[in-house]
Amino acid sequence: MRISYRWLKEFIDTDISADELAYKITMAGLEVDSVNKIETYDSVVGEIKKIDKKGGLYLTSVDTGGKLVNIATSDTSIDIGDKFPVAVSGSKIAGGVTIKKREFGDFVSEGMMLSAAEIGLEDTSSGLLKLDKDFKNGTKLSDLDEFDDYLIEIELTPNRADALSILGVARDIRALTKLNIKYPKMNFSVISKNINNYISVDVENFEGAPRYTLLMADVEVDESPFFIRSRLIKSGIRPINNVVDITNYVLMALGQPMHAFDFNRLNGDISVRNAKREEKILALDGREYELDENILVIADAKNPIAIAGVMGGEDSSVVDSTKTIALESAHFNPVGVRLAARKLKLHTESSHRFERGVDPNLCLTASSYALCLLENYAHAKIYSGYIDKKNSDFKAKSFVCSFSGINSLIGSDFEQKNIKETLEYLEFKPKVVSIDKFKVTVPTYRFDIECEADIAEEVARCVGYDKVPSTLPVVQASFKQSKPVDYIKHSLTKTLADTGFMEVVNYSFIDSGKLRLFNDKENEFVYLKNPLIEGQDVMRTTLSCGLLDSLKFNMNKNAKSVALFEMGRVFFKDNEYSKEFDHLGVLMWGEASFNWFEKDRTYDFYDIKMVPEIIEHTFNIEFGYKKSNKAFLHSGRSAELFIGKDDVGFIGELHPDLYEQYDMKFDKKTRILLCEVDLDITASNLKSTIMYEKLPKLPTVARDLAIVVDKNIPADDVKKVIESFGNVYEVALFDIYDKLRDKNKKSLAFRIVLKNDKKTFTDSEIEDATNSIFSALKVQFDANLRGEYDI
Amino acid sequence: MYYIKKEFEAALKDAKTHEDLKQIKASFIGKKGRVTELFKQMSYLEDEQKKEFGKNINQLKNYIENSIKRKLDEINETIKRESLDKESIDITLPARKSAFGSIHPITETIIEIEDIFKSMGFDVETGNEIEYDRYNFEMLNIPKEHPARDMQDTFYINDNVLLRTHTSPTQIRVMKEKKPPVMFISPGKVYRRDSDITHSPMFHQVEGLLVDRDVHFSDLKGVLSEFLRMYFGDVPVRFRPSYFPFTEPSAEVDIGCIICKGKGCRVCSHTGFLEVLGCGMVHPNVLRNVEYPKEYSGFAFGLGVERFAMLKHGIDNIKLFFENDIRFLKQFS
Repeated sequence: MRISYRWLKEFIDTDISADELAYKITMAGLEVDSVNKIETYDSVVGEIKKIDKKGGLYLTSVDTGGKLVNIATSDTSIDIGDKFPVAVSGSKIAGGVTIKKREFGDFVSEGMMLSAAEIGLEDTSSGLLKLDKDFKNGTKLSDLDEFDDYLIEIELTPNRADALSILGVARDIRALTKLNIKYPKMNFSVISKNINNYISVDVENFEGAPRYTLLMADVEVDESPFFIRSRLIKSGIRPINNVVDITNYVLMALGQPMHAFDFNRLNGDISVRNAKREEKILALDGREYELDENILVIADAKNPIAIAGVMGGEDSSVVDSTKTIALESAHFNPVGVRLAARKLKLHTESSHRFERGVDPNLCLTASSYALCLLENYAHAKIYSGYIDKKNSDFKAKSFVCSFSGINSLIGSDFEQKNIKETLEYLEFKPKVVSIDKFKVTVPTYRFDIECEADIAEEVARCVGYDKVPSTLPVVQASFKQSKPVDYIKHSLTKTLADTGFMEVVNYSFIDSGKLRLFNDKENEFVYLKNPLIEGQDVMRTTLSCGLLDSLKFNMNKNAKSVALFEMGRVFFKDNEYSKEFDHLGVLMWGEASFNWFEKDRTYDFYDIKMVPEIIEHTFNIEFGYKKSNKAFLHSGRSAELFIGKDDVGFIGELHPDLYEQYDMKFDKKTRILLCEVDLDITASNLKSTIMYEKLPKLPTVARDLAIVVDKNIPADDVKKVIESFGNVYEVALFDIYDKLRDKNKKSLAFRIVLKNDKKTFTDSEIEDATNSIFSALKVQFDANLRGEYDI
Repeated sequence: MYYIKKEFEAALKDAKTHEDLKQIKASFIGKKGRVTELFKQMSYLEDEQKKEFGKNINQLKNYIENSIKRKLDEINETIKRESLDKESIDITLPARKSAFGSIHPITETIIEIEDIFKSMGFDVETGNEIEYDRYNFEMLNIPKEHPARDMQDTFYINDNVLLRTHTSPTQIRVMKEKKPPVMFISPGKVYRRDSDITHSPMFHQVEGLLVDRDVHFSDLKGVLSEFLRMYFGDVPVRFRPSYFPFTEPSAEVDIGCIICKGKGCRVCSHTGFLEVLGCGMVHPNVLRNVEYPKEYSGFAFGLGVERFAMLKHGIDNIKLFFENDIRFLKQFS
């Protein structure tokens, strides 16, 4: 909400500067976003004396106070005798731009007539800002009251409906400064015509419209005086005519949305009812809205004439020819207005206030103010009598609070007298009922106040949060232990970063088309009902999609080597809800050897296999590896990971067919490697304690054994057989050779460390041991000794 | 004898190799060396003189032998050093390790925040990112038609399930599980249907909750002031009334702008202050919703992780966090 400082000062008697006031209300909960001084530079009042039309341009002669200035303009609304702000060449306009002379043929334009935006009253304008005719030509704008002003932009929280007006802000200032509020004059005289002889109102739905009031007047429609128009512009409201402007002026001043109907354009009496299905209304914004039974309307005998609390209808609006108006001031149900505004996607100053709550006791006060202004600025003749339909007396609510309760919640020791006085300045009525208790009556415009905590906040915010002490709570000491999965995440994050991986964070919602490449079980997908963009319509069930997006992004930036990891949730549908799991995802691609010590190597399976091995070693877990048959992985270069029988993830090369889906070319030399691990399952398999194993008592001996086996025999199977011998202490594979004459064979070389706890090995015992190991390998894998094999 | 000594010293000084030494040794104390020759001349002397002369020659011989030995050590040392110098390497080359990785600035920020609160005795809890409308809104005192829902444009899964718009539903989850007192923080992802230079449809928050007997608004001020000073250093901290449906009283917390030190700059919109978190005393309706006894009160707070990271590292575009440009990430290694 943007308000004029000058206007605010009409409601509160203060000399406090705009900036200081802004600070005060900010610290009391009305957050001021900005305070801007209106800067008119050297602009003056100018009157159009002569207009020549030439092409699409108007060549004018403007009197700027005894001096005629030639100005060209394209604004079609101008007329001889009109007055506008003028910036003569050489002077500045809003934004600091300097106006220069411009030539149009032989016409030299020596200045510019200005719009409201060009003097900083608003952000954008559709036309020039017309000034009042009684402003003297040549007067500097800065000498005129309405330009000697500040615009205060307040960002109100949704609870503070009461502050959505000049009066509302003034009330808070009173509570902070104890200054008096000045209410505007609201008196008017009436004529003998009585409203009840002309119209009647039938409220069919009191739940939707708890109060509906109507008054009538004969008016002369014209342009509003400048102070009304300029103040509306300052608040972001477009001036229309004096009648409409005055209803908007009252809305800004007091917070009561109002609407004026052209009485002569109504068909019979008014009813407040729910719309009929498919009933339509052409609204003031020039658009037609289709209504339904849940939307409350104001209707005449034939048609809806307004969407209650949201917007009036075009067909009954006040126009230049309007002679008589019916002035509505009502209280509509916040939820009803909110639903209607949302359904019609139509948000207005009026709906904004009704949704948050408008004081039901404000209707007639606001009408009086509006009629007083109409009498002065629209020559209104006001009919006697008024219509006031309501289903309640709108009594103020009250409840009991305790002084000690308030002080305990805040941690303060405010005196009872202070608490009481602060509340009184906020128009609450506290009545002490016992030593510590008081019954507080809440003003009917404070919809947000319901309990003692609310009262505590009112007191604290007016006294100032800075007056509340700063203390540290006394809490029970208790033992806090990280959850296993959090422990794993923290520890892995650090280890992987130290190992050379960069952590990434991708969106949790991804493209369902891409996800289908990785998961063919679409019944597991959690779709968003209202995605922001098409490519983010489903929650991820794998981190791989996001990692590939990150890779793609970096490839486009000419990255040559990428090693990424991400830890985050994946989501699986579970009836109407979903199950969430923490996953680790890793991606490697590109140069492994961009360094000085290694040449021409790209990441392969055995680089990314470091990840599961890190997990195994860090958390003392053993993974089982099984060849994977996942469709998105290279069938010969991938594995599924198991802990016991639980499938915990996968590792491998991306399937060559998938590159195309990511607009990438499959390159035999530079493969994309992926790994994903379910951290929740991993965490549930954490072995708590490592049990010590006795060290060998006597020196161990190492022997190397090189064997030749079929190419497809996994080295780890061979290793496991060797390890199964009781006297084997350690086994390590140190060489693989597959360039043998027989292309189906490979050679594996193991270093086997033998132990003997009873006595030192003799050479023959060592030989026996290796022989029996080799025999076993021969039986199981048809192995030959490398040395004996025909290479 | 004097001249022999001088000559020896001169020769020794020039000696550089084992070969040089060998020659010097031969020419002075070898079989035909000059000192050896002196011994031969001794037979021509008187006994008295012989004794004196012999002593002197012996001294000279010892001196020469020792000097040669010392020189030999010296030459050996030089040769050793020269051979090591030949093996010199470029000590400025980086270590033989693939590369250094990095922790994402969001994770790093969360870890740092967690560490501070853990040191104050807070536990760490995790909530769900897909959440019930009930937990995300209704039990937090935000009924279906509440205007506060406008503040948070929501991604829905279906009518009752949504992507959480804040970490606050974790308050409900934990309080429904555990009896008071509770004292925890909860970091995590949150989602809002909003995307521009300052808004990302996914971002991170850290929620905090402390419920116990006799918890006051003043405690909230104390704990958060302490936290902010530990995170941002010695900055002014101010509390300003605000509104959240699930806290009452509510506050927004500002710190003195860390960019301009409060003088006013673009980052703080020339106010000298930066808004960094929202907080308040847990609304009695929320405590009632989780059936906590009346004698308990507490405070809650929530902060935006990206904002903290942006302020601390001077990052000017929230998109950078989710593009995952390795040139950006590398800066945090």
